[in-house]
Amino acid sequence: MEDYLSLLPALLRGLWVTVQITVAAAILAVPLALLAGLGRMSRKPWVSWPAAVYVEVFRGTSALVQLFWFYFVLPLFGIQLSAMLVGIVVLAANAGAYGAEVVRGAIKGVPSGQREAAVALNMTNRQIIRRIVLPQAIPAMLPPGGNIMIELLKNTALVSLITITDLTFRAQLLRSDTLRTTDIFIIVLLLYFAVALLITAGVRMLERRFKVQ
Amino acid sequence: MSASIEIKDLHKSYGDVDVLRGINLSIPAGQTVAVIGPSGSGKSTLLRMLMTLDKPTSGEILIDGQSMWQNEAGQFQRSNSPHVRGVRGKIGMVFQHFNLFPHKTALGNVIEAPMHVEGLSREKATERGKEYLDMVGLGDKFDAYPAQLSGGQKQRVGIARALAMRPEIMLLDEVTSALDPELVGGILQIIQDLSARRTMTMIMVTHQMKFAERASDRTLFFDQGNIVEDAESSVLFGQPKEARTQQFLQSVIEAE
Amino acid sequence: MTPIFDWAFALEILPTLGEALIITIQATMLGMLLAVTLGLILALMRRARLRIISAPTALFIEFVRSTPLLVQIYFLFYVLPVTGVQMSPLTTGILALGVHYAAYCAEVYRAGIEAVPRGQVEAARALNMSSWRTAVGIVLPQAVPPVVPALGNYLVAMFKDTPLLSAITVVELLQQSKMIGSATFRYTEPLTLVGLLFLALSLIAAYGVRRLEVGLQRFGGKR
Repeated sequence: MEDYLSLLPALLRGLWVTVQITVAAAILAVPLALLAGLGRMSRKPWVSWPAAVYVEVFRGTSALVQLFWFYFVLPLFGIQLSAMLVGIVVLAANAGAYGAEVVRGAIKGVPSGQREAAVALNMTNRQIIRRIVLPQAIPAMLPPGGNIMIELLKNTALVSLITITDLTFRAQLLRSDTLRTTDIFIIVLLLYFAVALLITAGVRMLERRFKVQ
Repeated sequence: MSASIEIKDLHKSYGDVDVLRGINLSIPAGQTVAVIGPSGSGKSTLLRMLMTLDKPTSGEILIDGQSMWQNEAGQFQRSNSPHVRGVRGKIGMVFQHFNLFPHKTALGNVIEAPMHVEGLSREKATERGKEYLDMVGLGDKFDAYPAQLSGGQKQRVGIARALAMRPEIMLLDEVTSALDPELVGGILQIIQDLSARRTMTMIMVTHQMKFAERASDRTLFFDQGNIVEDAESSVLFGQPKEARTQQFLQSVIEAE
Repeated sequence: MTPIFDWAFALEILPTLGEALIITIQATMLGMLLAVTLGLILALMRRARLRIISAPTALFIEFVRSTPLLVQIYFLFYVLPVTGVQMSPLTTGILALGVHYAAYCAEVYRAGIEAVPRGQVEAARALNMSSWRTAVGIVLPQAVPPVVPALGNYLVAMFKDTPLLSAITVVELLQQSKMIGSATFRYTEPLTLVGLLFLALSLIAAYGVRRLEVGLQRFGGKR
């Protein structure tokens, strides 16, 4: 047991970085998903086209390739961002693109009669989306949204490949220092699993809070 | 306050299917009109078009002499435009499948539009909402959610919700068709009372023939996208002129 | 002044990237083969009536689905040699991809199996069919076709995960573009080309999956 505990301090520092990135990217991803999902359903082409391109590009390419591209290519356009910021923004964009499809599906899932009743009452489009459609769509977004959050957590491991000292990076460092490969990776996997379980529990709490009567 | 309706050569197609094939109709303010006919004849489509839920393929709809979709200069307006919303504000609708907002209570459903569309304060809207819910017999169900209500109760909320916006035209789309038989009578009574007050122009699509005869001034028989017969209700039901009308009424009686 | 994107250079490196693409496709195909087979086994194990089989299987599936693929790849790459098993990086990568996606496929199969109406099993029982025959001849042929599109989507997802193998020195597309980049100091062209390649291929594959979904309707599509 002593042995395992000695590995923890370094790994926990990495875990903290992982959690920070996960939370920051998640917070950024939600508005992105809402904007892109709603944008994709807009009838104005100058809104729906960029939204569609964003969603298709970030869903259709590999997260790691996206990370590398932004890490290496962005500086050439004069944009200097820290690796951490690149990691957060790219992972958020990635999650947001998948989230946009969830948003779109959930909004389409609200019965058309709801919209019709709202139009009959002469509500504006904005009111209809905000007060009638979204409140009914949100509960449907939570379970798949939770899955996307777990994918996001898993994707944070990729930032170790662009030099961010997250949990996976720490694991690699520790491995080359102590050569206790098996122990290290078992602990690391368990730590990720624990965070994933926390996320699932959190989503379940949200599901209860947002239940439509 | 009630409004008149004028429909000129109205056509509606969905792709290759012609649902309305040239409707001409003039309904004076305050009249109650029943619309009957077989499924697919276009009755519900007509109501949807009057409620601005769909746009005509060709033809015109005038409410109190004002074009529904065209402004003074004759330019077509969008559904969300002030012009169309101005016309739509005079019209209300009760739906076959209720379409109540599940995340709001009965009272919440009724005050939603008065508060956010008309701009009433919560107190005034609540006062009005309770008045209309009382009127339809749901004085004890203000805080119930739709999931906790029976079909008949849900439809009463639907009626109160539409009435709360004080429409000049009320559209009723087969409002009892989704109800268990024992609940139908209650709803029909409410509608008959509303009609007797003559405060609105009312158009009801219905399969309840006896009720249609009793509660409406005038009846239209629809078939395959056209008005086949248009007469005073007692005349249409008692002495239908057209053969198709006779056939339809005969088949309905046999079914009952 | 070197331009941001040198088209001539891009064309130059295309053949090299093409070689790496072959590795990428190999990894995807073999990985998927492993995933759909192992996934089916896992799904059946999870439905076993003996809790001593079903419970650990369920835990395993949940664990693999909830932890990063990259860490799983590292785990196999560094831990397997310790146990005496010697595999090339590519083989290790295929194994990691296969096991990771087997967990996803297992859940997909589970949904498909549970969607087969109970009446089918009851009818088979009434005809005195053995459990094995029932499973293989009646349930699986009805369970699998509706879920093939979902499996197809995981094929596309696995394809997009192959760049992770660059972390264990497999020379697939990303690794190749990094090598080009560090040799020539031009990262834009290789990375952009790789990005576009992935986009094009995954769009084509997604389209293929949709066509497949339509074609499979006659076997009983989504319920």
